[in-house]
Amino acid sequence: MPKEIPAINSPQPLAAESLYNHCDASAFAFGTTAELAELDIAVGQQRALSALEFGVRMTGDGYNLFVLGPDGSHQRRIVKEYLESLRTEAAPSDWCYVNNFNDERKPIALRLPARKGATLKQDVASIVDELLAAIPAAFESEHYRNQVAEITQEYEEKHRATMEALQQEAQQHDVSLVPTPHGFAIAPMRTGKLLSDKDFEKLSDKEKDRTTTAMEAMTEKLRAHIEELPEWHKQRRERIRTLDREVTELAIRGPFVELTAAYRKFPEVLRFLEDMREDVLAHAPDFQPEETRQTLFGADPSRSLQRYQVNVVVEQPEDGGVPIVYESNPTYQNLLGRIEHVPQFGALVTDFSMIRPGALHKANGGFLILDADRLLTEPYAWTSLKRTLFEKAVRMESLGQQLSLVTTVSLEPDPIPLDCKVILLGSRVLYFLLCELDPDFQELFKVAADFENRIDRTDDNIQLYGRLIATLAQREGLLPLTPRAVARIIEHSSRLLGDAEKLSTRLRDVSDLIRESDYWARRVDSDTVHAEHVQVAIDAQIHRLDRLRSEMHEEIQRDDILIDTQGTRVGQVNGLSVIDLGRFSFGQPSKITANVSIGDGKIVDIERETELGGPIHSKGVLILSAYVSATFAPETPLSFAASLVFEQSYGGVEGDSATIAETCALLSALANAPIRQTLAVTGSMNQHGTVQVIGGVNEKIEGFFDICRTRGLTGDQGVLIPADNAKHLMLRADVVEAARNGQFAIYPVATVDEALALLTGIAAGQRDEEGQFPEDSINGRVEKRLIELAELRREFDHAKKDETESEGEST
Amino acid sequence: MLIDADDKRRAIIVALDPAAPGSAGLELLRDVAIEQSCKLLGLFIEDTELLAHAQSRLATEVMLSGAARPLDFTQLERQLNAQSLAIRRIFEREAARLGLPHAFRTLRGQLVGELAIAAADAEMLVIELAQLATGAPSIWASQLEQLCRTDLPNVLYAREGWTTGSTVLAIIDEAADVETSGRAAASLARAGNSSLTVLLGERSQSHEAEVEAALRRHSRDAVVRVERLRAASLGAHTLAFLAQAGNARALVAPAHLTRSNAGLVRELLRLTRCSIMIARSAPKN
Repeated sequence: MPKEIPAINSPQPLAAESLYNHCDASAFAFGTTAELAELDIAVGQQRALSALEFGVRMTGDGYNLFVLGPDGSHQRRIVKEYLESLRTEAAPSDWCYVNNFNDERKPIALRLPARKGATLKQDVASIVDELLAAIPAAFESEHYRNQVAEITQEYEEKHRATMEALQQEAQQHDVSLVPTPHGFAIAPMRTGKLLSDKDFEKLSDKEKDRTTTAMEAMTEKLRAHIEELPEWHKQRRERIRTLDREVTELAIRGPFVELTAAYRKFPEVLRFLEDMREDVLAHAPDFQPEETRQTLFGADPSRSLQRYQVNVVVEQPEDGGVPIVYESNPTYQNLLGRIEHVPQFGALVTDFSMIRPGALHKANGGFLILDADRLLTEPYAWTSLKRTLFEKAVRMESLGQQLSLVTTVSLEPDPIPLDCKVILLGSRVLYFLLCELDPDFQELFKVAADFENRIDRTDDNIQLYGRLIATLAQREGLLPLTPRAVARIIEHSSRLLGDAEKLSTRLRDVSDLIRESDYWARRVDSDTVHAEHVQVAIDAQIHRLDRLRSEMHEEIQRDDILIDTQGTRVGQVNGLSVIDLGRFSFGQPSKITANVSIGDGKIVDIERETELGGPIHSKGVLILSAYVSATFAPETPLSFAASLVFEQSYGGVEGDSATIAETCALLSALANAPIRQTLAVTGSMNQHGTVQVIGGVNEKIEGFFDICRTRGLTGDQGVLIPADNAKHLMLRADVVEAARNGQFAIYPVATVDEALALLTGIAAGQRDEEGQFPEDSINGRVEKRLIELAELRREFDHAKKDETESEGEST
Repeated sequence: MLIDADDKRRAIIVALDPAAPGSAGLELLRDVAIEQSCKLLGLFIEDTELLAHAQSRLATEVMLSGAARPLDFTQLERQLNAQSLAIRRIFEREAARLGLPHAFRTLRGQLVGELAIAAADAEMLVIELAQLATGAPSIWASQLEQLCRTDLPNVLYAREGWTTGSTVLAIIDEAADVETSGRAAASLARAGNSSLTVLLGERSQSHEAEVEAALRRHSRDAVVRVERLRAASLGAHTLAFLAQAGNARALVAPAHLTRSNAGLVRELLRLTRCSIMIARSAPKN
């Protein structure tokens, strides 16, 4: 039992039973968790699940989802499991890109039923193989070669006949006609022999004229024939080209008729096949054997047939159902796809076959899950996603082109219509920031699925939680747990939450504890996880992160940091703070002191003055100033100066959980009433002196307890906490044991008066009917001191005024 | 493999034409040359008649561009030299590709006359014929009649049609033709792994059994088919029809048919796509 203090209506310490909410293992009706069936891990998330269901089923623009909640809630897994339950719905379309024969820079998108894309690809590849055989065969056929030969021979015969006629005419006119390396030579002849220059000179003028005229005429005729030749060549080529087209058309007719029939229900595919057919007709030589094809600078001849391929960018899997895609790395390219390039002769080239899909393509017709923070940190990913959702189409564009960094020719593929729900996973802070700062966000993400941080610790929920623990263990192939182990985990869940009446939904912490308990159980060759293994796991977790607490504890023990746990002090109180190290928090006492002197009513918050105090802390100090002003000397100006400080604190102070402590220190200084250093106090306060709830109450209590225990518990030590924090208590077993044994006490206080009474052992005092506090009460002594200080101030002011006036008269 | 042009080993003369730089003839004869251990001798003949034209100041050259200019001797010699170099390169490259021993020579003289002298002891003479597509004038196309009248060994007028066709067609007009056209055709069929189709004219049909026996001896493993011709005369149209109908790679006719019909070769070349061989003497096996 704690030592008695004067009976002044001070609150009684809390019973040991109320310091920890045990979970009764006997309430579980199983031997081990192996007997329990798996459970949907979305326990207690009805709000979020109903929002999910609504968002998923709601049609209309902008009904994408943002899933928010505490980290570690397994939101992604829960969302995926929920969506998996919808996979019975029919799979969406396959999507393919094919060459646009009219403009290769603009590949065409084809939509096909699920799993038909691969069939089309195979069918087109097959027809190309068929054409690779059929077209060369057609051109090697006797029929074709005969026709080409006929055409060629026709022109050869024309040429030969013309040359023969010219030859005869030349002979008739005594002109010789012979071929030269670059054409034809003509020269005059007589009697079948060449006419030499000398013999020519001997001819008569008439003969010379005749010869010259004949030469000129033959020259012109030859020239005329030579000028005809290009036109003949052209005609021959045209006729052969026409023949080629006819032969090709005949060769490809059968395969294309068959293929067209197979896709008669798909107009877009039919259009593609028709364009392909026309292209084949125009490029029949591309189907010739490689060795006969001419290629430019040794380019790969097989690439020319690649333009008939089908690039299946989205293919629905065999097992069907709507796609559920989680993109863990939501870069611009991973979301919208990319267009690859290959080097060729020093330049980068691309075509439709190098279009690669992104997550939006793969999720089309289904769901895309993204981590919001990752999405927002990737350059251009967020803006591009929004644009895509607004346009309801996935448009592929290289970032380089968008930013005008790259000027190589790239592609402009047909945009693919998008019908997809995007589900962002993120923190609440991010959600509200987006709501506030991005006007597009609320247009596009109208549904918020808010995950609970906690559920009520009811009997039903305890049973569910037990099954949840069983499910988490079974899914990871861990050892089964005993009911006591499950109970211990449930208790720890409340402790992590800092609330004896709630259970945490941060499944990550629970999963980690289950895994680590499994580890410790296996270490001792146990085939079941018992409560002691869970405790070892908890202790080990703390121990791994406990270094700083140990160091600071040591500093206090060594008086490097001065904390009193015995005796009394005026204007000094043990406050309590929590140091948060991420996965571990611990409490630590801080000495809070107050000094007062004559002044003009200002309370100096030294933390704030030195910019070590945060705004919430400053708010607390201002509240206590207002309380003092309103409570004491309501009709008298305050004439004191006070200062408050957290002694030996150099790292910054935030929060208002020390307001009660600061108020008590100040009033102690004003009333000159010593405060018991065996007690620590924590609590926020409003302007009327009501004590308000604070956070980290368990850590704070344990922090002071640890110091007291190390020095030796005296039986009169304890902690004052806000009364409304009693329901949050999940204290360590050693603290509860000490309380049970009367060695340490937890006092719930509802007002600053109650706190003062406990700390000073003197009643705080209430105003009587005449508005006076009892003289010996704390409040009475404070008020009396304030009046004294006001009197002193007036006297000082008068004296100063007189002095000033007399100085003025003498000058 | 380059060899000495004066080497007296068995030679196949290839009369090269700048307007027909192809290798149809070489392809056709590759296996024949290998089987008979022959070398190839490529000949380019600079026509002295042409050069004589260039000595007349009245001579004019009308070029393929349509322009006309005086014919300059020095320039013409340079052009012929350039042609010789170019065609040599092509010939040696194709011969090397086919793995045939070969040599090259440039001669100057009257086209057919020089050719006849050079080909006097040769196994065979090959003349590549230009197609219209090349555009350049052919030097041998205008010499066909004279070639037929000149005493030459077996002459093969090589054409692109060799690459298709499944049979070698031999014309046996008289029984003695079995040792000329029959033997030559058998040699081509054997070397080209083709069948041999023999057309017996009326005058040889009475000796059909002997002819067939002789041909089977000559053709060894080649498939031999003998057919009787019902045609009254072996004119160009008849022969061309038979060549087309029979899908012939080459048609081998005895030389005496060309003596009686000077235009036969020209007509056959006009009417068919296959190569035409005129067999004059028994080839040496």
